[in-house]
Amino acid sequence: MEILKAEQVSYSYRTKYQTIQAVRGVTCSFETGKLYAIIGESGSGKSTFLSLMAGLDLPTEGKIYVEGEDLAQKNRDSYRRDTASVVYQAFHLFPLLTARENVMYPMELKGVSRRQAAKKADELLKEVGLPEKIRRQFPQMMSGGEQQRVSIARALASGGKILLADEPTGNLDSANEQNIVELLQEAAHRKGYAVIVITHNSKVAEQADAVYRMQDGKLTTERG
Amino acid sequence: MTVIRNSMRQLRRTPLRACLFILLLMFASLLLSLGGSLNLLTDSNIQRLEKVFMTIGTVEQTPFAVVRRQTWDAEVKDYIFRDRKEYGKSIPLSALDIEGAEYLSGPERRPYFLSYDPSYKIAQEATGFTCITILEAEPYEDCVPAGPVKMKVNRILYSYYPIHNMIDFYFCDHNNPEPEMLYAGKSYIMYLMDGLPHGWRRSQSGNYEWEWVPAGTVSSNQADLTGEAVPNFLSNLYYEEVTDGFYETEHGKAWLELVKTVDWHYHSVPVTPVSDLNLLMAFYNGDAYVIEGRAFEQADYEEGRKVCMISRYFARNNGLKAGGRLPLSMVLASYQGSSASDVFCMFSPDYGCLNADGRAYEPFEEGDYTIIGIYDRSPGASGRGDYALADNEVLIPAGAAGSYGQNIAAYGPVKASNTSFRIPNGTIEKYRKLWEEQGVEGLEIQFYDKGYTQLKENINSIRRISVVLLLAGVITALLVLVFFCHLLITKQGKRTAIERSLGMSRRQCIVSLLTGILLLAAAGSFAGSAAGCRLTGEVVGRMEAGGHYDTRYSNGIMGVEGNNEEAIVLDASANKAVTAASGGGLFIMAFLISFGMAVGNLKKEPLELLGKREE
Repeated sequence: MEILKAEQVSYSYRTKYQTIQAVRGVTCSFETGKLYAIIGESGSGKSTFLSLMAGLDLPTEGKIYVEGEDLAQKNRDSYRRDTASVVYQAFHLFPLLTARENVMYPMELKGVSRRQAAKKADELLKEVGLPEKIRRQFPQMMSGGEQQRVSIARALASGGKILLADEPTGNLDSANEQNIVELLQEAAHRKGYAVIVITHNSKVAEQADAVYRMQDGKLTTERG
Repeated sequence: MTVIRNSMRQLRRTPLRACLFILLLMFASLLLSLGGSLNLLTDSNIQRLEKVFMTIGTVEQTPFAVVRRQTWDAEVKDYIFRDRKEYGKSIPLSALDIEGAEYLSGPERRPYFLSYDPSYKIAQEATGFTCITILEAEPYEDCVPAGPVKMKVNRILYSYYPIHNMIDFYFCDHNNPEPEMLYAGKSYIMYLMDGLPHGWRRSQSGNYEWEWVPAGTVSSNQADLTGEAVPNFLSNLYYEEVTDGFYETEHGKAWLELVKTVDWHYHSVPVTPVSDLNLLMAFYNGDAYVIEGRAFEQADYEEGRKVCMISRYFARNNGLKAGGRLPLSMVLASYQGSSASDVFCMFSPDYGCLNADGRAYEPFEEGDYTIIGIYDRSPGASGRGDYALADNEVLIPAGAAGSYGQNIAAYGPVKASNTSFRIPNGTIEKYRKLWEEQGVEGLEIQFYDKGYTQLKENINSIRRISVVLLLAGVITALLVLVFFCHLLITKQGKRTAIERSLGMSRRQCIVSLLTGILLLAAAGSFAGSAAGCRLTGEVVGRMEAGGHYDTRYSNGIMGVEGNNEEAIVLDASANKAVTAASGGGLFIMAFLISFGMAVGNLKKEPLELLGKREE
């Protein structure tokens, strides 16, 4: 089922000296239950496109539709809270909250009771394979892989249908890299998320259901 | 609530940073509160000082010489020598018309008036008077009254005491080294007072007859308003021969006029016109104070109301009360000496009771005055000191009495007791400089400010300290707030970006950022202010312990009872207000700075913050 659709999306921004055209007329669509990979060189516009899909900004041209609705017309805060969540290369966990509290946060924001949120957070952390003793630890006490698992658990905690991942394995060793990819596959195939992964790692791309390539802000279908 | 709870949770996990922030903010708040309170204290105290204190100057003519005067004493047959200051001509008050000098009152040179009313009961009545009489008498035989000579009374023209049955008496021209011969069968008019008999001082057990000595002369000291003596024809004699038709002559008539004035000595009170009660040193120094009714008000002076203040002594002797009426009939004015010393020497005053025409002065002002207040004097303040008030002194507003230019019975040098002015507090040095530039010789000015200059300097020192504290408080607060807001907000840009990516609204992000810092700021601000309030109390307590000053009479309306000490004090409600203001102000400052920084955080795109590669 198509959940996310980009139609002639462009995005440009001004720096001190020039205007950068980061995304140029991208048209594509994403379905739930699939893992997508967007590959491309650094600076090709992948992360910017992902941020647009996350509703962190709006395209300067074109439209993004979520379940057929124009994202620009929706409340983007609730979109991020309820529908789309993001996993970053640098994990971006709250450093002063424990693993469990980080996962509880989006649920609490949605009004889930503290007890329910804690229970659900434990389940999710267990699902991503984090041992119980680590759940009470702060991010800086964890390895990169563990932090990224927490980050994925937090993304899943929102209960949305779209999971956007920006180079989720970029800071991980190969063993952890595979674990994370498996978690993302599981999110797509078993939980029914539309998982869109930005990566320049070919191994990750190989395991995706569909692959797009971003070059100079333009998106082309590589596979799928 | 979730946002606030998570914000607080994150704050709790940096206790050292939070504690340091609170402590530093407390310190800043303490400085602000202490500085603000002290500043307010100094302001209010300076305002109070301006009301309580006043600065006056007294002016005294300096003598140009001291000469030795000799007086004959018939008893010891020798001269008694006394030193006397010579002042020369009186220096006019216009010498004090100094360009740039700011006078609040005066300068004024106060005369005192003599008000005569036969119904007055004056102070000396209780202790007994010297008896004055004017009579005609003749010696039993030709004699020179260089010692007591017996004389026969022919006629008594005036006597305060009933001596009408007196047939003869002993007379001695006591202070005259070369008295004229008195002839038997000739009648003499004499102005006499009773005195001690010769030999009394050596032995008080003998059987001596009272002797009578000359008391006054038929004379006039009339002067005009500039102090110039008005020429007169009077003889200045203590006694004169009464020839046929003597009382038809101008001189004889003058003697009869003199007879009319003798009773003035027994039933007169000095009346001093004032334009500011505090120009009277007795009131300024606190030797005199109102015990009933009120002191003069500005309107009394300005409108020249017919009101008066009387001494407790005079009020008691005459059964007078505040609110009652006092008849005043002012016959003469004197610029010589002070009322206290002249009235003490009431039977040989410096003034003469006759004008230059040999007539008793006619009243220049008559009327009933309303007694608005009764004053008393401190124990030991009575007497004849230059600044003392006479026992029966009556005070009236200057301007209440009419023109007295034709009734000036005596004129003398400028004296501190009757010449003074008031200048604004703290301007003594300025005045002194202007005065020195004038180069006036023969006048000396003495300033009195009851320690105002010193006290104000102390208060100004406190004010300077308070400003330093305030500045230090503001700077510390700004530095602490900017530093910690930077640490807790600006440096938390990524946190805000994560929150935004999790779907928190901008408002929620601001709440998340500000909750913790504002709670800490509130705790630090108000705790510091409370500490500042307490510290201010301590400081004020120490100041109070060290700096009391007596203001009992400064405003001339205080009673002798009760606490009349003033000190540097802080109004407790004002102190609390400053505490609240400094705490509140600091909190508002914290809010504005943190809010500004939080808004700045939100301006940064989450995309930019979160999308940075960490390769």
